[in-house]
Amino acid sequence: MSWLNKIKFSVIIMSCSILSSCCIGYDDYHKLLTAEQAAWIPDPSLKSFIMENEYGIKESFVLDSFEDTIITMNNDKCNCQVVFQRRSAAYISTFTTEHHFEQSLNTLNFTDLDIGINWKQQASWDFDKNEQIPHSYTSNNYPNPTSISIVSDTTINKQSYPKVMILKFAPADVEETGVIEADFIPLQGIVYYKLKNGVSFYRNPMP
Amino acid sequence: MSNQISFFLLLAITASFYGCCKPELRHQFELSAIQKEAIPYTDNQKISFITNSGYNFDLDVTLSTDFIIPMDFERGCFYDEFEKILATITSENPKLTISISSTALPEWESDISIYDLELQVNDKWFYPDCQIGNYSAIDFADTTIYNRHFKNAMVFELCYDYTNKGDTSAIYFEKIVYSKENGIELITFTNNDYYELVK
Repeated sequence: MSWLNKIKFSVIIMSCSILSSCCIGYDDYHKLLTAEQAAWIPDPSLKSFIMENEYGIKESFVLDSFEDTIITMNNDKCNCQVVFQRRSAAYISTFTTEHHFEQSLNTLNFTDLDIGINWKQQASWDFDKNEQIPHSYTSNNYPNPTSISIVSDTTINKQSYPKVMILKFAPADVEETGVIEADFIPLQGIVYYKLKNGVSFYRNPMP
Repeated sequence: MSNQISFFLLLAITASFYGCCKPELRHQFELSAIQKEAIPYTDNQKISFITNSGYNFDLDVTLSTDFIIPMDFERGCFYDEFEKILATITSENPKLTISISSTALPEWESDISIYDLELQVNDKWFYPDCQIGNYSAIDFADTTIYNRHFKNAMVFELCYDYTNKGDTSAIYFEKIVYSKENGIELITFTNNDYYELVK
């Protein structure tokens, strides 16, 4: 290779390198869910489950959608690479489309868990700060919980769980048949919920 | 040329008159006595059901009769009205909203279906014996099902359910036994659970 070709080749390589790198002051973003975080979305092998209340009334929920995607994209201006993960599962009642549970995680910006209940109640948890945040859909005025807590070694309906996420809503915020408490466990989703009218539903069988 | 202009002008004037007319009632179809008898509920009635596990629950009935105008029957300057009787039955636990209705039929459809019953539980539609479109064969008859004998009854089935993806471990609505005398007699589920009318 002549010295002129060497220079040409170097210029091309340098140009490519400059074009493919981020702007000064910006970085590539690469954030995926940890296994522990991902477990807050039910495992897709859970195709359906049954909730039963103290009066023997049963209601089953079936998997309506599941997603686990790693998304790679380039920032238009700076050419920084952005890689994030989205994982979600939604279950709908076989009795009425008014009843559903939906859990969704994504790592874009921060690790955000969104939970939807019966299309009318919602909750969000920031795993980076380990704190409750307002749900991203603020325009619909649906109630957020008054508290979200992740508790260890808890017993629900005689069954012990190492970790449970407990959502509590103010009764005044929800409809008469709305949910005032919802308990979720890793990989299995909801295991207990209590309605404003006092009726409690447990998973049958408890996972 | 002037003939063509006159023709289009006349056509436009005719069309504008036709488009601006105030629609008038052409026909008012009333429910037949047979149709009214097919919905044996009264307004503000309370009924009770018992589950297979022995839990009793009450349902509230509201009954309304009104004239409706189906979209297909509002054409141009005329419209047709059809009398509709609707019973809405609700309970809180379990959460049920049941609608049963019968709509008056024009003469040209009276041979096809004499009841025109529609039955909906929550957002699920039930049809007599899943014979959608074959209503001529539908009638009340003495029926034995689930080891029970029902007089003058029809069996409605959930013929299509969006949520049913073949998962046999989930529970789905299955059938509804509906009688001329008592209305809904029995609601069954695919796991053999049932809700039965307390008489």
